[in-house]
Amino acid sequence: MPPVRARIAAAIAQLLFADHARPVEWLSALSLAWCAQLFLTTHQLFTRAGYSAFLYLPPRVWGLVFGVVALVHLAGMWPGRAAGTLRFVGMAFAAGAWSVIALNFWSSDSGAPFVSRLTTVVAMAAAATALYLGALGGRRP
Amino acid sequence: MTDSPLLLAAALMPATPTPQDLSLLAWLAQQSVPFALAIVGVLLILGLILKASGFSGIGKTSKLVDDDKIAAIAENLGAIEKRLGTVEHDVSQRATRDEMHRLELSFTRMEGRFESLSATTQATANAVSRIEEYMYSAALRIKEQPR
Repeated sequence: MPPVRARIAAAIAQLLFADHARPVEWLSALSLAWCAQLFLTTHQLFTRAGYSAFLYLPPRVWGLVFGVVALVHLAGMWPGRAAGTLRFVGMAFAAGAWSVIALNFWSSDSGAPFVSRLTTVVAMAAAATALYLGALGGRRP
Repeated sequence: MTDSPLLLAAALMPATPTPQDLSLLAWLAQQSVPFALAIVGVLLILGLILKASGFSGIGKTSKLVDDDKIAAIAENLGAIEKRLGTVEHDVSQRATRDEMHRLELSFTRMEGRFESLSATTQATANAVSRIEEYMYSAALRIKEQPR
C-alpha cells in the first residue's frame, strides 16, 4: 500500500478503532450530542407525548447533562494522563443517560418497540463498556 | 450464534410490557434521574472495586502491565546491561585503527631489518668458513713438515 494511503488508513483506524471500546464511545458521544442539541433547541419538546421519563428536569438541563457527557467522552478520547479515568467516568454517566432514554421509550404509551429495544441494547453496551474501561482501559486482556 | 452479545441482550429484555409492567415503568419514568444516578453509582463503585482488586483501566496507565512482568523485564535489562558493559570494556581494550596502522609499519620496518641481518649473517658465516678452512690446511702443512 502506498505510504500516503497507509497513513490515511492508520489515522482513520486510530481515530475510530483505537481500541475495543472506542466505537461504542463514538456512538454514544455523537448520539448524546445530537440529543443535547435537540433538547437545547426544542423547548416545547416535552409537551408532546412520549417523554415521560424526561419530565423530571427541564429540557435545557437534560440538554446540558447530555452535552457534558458527550464532551467527557470526547475529552477522554484525547491522549493524556487522565484519559483512562475520563473514559470510564464518561461511559458510566453515558450508561445512566442511555438508561433514561431506554426507560422513556419503554414507559411511553406511544410504544416505539424497536426504539425501546435498540436504546436498551445501547444502554447495556454502555454499561458493559464502562466496566471494560474500568477493568482494562479498553485493551485486550 | 447463541453467545452473541446482541442476542443475549435481546433475550434478557422483556417482551411487550403488560399493564402491570407499564405502571412500574411509569413509576420508574417518574424517578428517571434517581434511576440513572443509581446506575451510574453502581458502575462507579464496580469500577473502584475493580481498581482495588488489581485491575487498572483507570488511574495510572503504567499499572496496565503487572508487577511480575515488570520485574522480569527489569531483570532481563540488568543482564543485558552487564553483558553490554563487558563488551564495552573489551572493545575499549582493543587497538584502534591508527594503532593497527602503526603496528603494520613497524612490522614492515622489522621485516627489512631482518632481511639485511640475514645477509650480514650469511657473509659472516662465509668468512668464518674460509678462516676455518685456512687454519685447517695450515695445521696440515705444519704436521706434514719433517722434523
